[in-house]
Amino acid sequence: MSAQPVPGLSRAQSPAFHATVAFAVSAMVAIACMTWVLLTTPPGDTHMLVAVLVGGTACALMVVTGVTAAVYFGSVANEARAADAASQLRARRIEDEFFWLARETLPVIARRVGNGATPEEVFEGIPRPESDAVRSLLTTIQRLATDVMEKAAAVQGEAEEAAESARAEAEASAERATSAAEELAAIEAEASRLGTEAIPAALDQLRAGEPRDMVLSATSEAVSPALSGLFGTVVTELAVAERRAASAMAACANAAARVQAQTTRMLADLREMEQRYGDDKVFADLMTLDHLVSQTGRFADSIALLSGGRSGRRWTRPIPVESVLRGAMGRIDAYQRVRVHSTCTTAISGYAAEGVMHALAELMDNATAFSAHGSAVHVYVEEEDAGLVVTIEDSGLGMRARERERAERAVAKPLDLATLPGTRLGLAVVGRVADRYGLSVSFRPSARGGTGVVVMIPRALLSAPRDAAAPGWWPGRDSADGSGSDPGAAPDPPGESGTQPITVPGQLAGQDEDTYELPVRPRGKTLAEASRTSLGPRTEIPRHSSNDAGSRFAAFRNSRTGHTEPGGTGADQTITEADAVESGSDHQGSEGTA
Amino acid sequence: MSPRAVDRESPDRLYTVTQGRTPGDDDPFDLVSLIVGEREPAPGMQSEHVRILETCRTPVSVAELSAELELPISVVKVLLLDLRDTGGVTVRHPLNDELPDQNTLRKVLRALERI
Repeated sequence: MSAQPVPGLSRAQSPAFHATVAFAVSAMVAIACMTWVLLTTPPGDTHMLVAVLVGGTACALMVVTGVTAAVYFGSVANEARAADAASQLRARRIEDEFFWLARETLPVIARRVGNGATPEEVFEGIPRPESDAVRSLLTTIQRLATDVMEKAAAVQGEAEEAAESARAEAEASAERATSAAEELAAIEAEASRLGTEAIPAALDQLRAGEPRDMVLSATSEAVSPALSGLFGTVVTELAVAERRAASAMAACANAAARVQAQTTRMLADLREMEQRYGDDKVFADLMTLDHLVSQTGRFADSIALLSGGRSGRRWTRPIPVESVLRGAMGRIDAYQRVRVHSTCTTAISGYAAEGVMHALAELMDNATAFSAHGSAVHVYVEEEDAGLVVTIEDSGLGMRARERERAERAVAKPLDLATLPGTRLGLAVVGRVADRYGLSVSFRPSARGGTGVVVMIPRALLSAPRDAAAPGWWPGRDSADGSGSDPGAAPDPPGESGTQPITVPGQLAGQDEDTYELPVRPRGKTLAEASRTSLGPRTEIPRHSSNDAGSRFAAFRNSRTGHTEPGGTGADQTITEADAVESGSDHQGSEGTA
Repeated sequence: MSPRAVDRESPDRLYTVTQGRTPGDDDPFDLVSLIVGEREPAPGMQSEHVRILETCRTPVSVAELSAELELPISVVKVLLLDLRDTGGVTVRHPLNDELPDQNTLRKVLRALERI
C-alpha cells in the first residue's frame, strides 16, 4: 500500500466517486418513492403519516449513511495522502543513501583498499545505511570487496613469497660473490705481500747466509696453498741462485786478490827497477810497463771491490792530495791528458786513500774515454769547510739528462757484481767507494761542454800530511837541520806537502833501522814471508844502498869544497867522480838483488 | 822485496811525475852538473819541483838530487828540464873537459894513503 504510486491514489478516488453517485441515485430513488407515496395517499390518512415517518426516517438514515461514508472516505483519503508523503520521503532518503554510497562511501572504501587496509579496517567506521536495499548492496559490496581483497592478499602473499625467495637467492649469490671476492682479495694481497715483502725479505735472509729451510719456516704461511708452493719454489730457486752468485763472487774475489797481490809486487819491483836503471835506455820501457801494470791493478781492484774483496793495498800514512791525484791518474790509459789544478796541501787518511784514488781513477777514465782524444781533462781541487771538492771536467759530448740520472743512480746505490745491470764497472766502483767512505758524487754539465763530476771528500777523511813524523818516508826535520848540508834553508811553511826536509842519507838509513822494528805484512803476503823479506836485507846488506851514490858523492863534493860531513860515510875513500858514480851504480845494483 | 818497496812506496808512479816523458839524448845534464836554484818555490808547483828548488838553494849535483829525492836520474832530469825552461834553475857544467893525467892521480893517491 505504501509502495503504491501516486497515480494509484487517483484510482482510489473513483470508488468514492462511484459511492457518491450510487448514494445520490439511491437517495433520489428513495425521495421519489416517498414523494409518490405522499402523492398517492390521501391527505390526513394514517398511511400518509406512516409514509412520511418511514420516508423521513429513511431519508435521515440515508443522510447519516452518506455523511458517514463521506467522513470515512475523507479520512481514508487523508491516510492515503499521508502514506504517499511518507513513501516519497523514504524514497528520497533511499535516493540520498544511494548518492552517499556512490559519492562518499565507495570512494572511501576504494581509498582504503588502495592503501592496503584489511577488510575489517576498510569497512570500519562506514555508516550503515538505513535502507535495506542499500544496506544489502553495501553488504554485497563488502563481501565482494573482501573476496577481492582476500584474493589480492593471496596473490600478494604469493608475490611476496616469490620476491622473498628471489631475494634470498640473490642474497645467497651475493654472499657467494662476496666470499669469492674476499678470497680473491686475500689471495691478491698475499701475492702482493709475497712480492713486496716476503720474497725480498727471504732474499735478504738468504744473502745473509741463512739456510733455505730456516727462511721458509720463518715466513708466515700463505693463505693459498698455490701461493705457498710458489713461494717455496721461488725461495728454493733464489737460494740456489744466491749460492751460485756467492760462490762466483767468492771466486772472483779470490782471483782478483791474487791478481792484486801480483800487481802490487810487480809495481814494487818495477819501481826498484826504475830506480836501478834510472839513467838507462830501458827506463822508458819500464815506465810503459809500469803504466800497464798499474791499469791491470785497477781492473783487479775493481773486480775485487765489486765482488766483496778488499782494495789493492792499504797505506799506513796519510797520502797528500797531489799523490792521490797522481795515483789516480797513473791507473788510467790516457793519463797524459789529465791536467791537475791544485794548490791543496792536505792529505787523505791512509785507510781511505786507496779507495779515493780508485774512485777518482774510474771517473778520470770515464772523462778521458768520453771526450775527444786530443782534449784535456781538467781536475780542480778545492778545500771547503765540508771537505775536499774534486771536480773532474771534460769537454766531450756531455751526458743527456737520462744518462746523468742513470749515472747518479749507479753512484748512489752500491752494487756488486751480481746486481750490476750492465758490464761497465766504473760507476759501480765509484758507488761502492762512495758508500764505504761517505763520498758524495754528483754529475753536472760542464762549462767546457762536457760533463763535470764533483766528488766531495768529507773532512773526516782528511788529515794533515805527515812530514816530520813520517816513519822513514821523509825523515825528520831535526836531522835534516842538523846535517849542515842545507844551512840556509828558510823555515818550511807548515803543512806544505812539497817542502819536505832534506834528508841526510846516512841518517836516513839509520832511522830506517829504528823504524822498521816490526815486520809489516804487505797485502797478499803471509806474515812469515813478510818478515822474511823484511829481515832478509837488513841482516845481509846495510840498507842505505840506494842512497849511497848520493851520499858518497856528497862526501866527495864536500871534501872538495872543504866541508866536512858529520858522520859521513864516504870521507875515507879516495875516488874520482867517475868512480863515485860507478860505485853508486854498483850499490844500486846490489840493492836490486836484495 | 825490501820493506821499502811495500811500506815506503808512494802511490805516485814515476810516469805520472814526468807526465810520461823521458829526457832525450841531448839533455844538457851530466850526473855531476851542478844545479843552482834561482827562485823560491811557489804555491801550486809540483811537489818535486818544490823540493828541487829547496835543495838547490846551494848548488847541488844531479846525482845528489836524485839521491835526495829518491827519484831515478831520468826523472830528475825531466823535472830539471822543466825548471830550467821556466827559469827556476840554472845548470853549471863541471870543468872536467880534460881529466888530470894518471901521474897526478897516482900522486894524489899516494898522498891520501899517507894521511
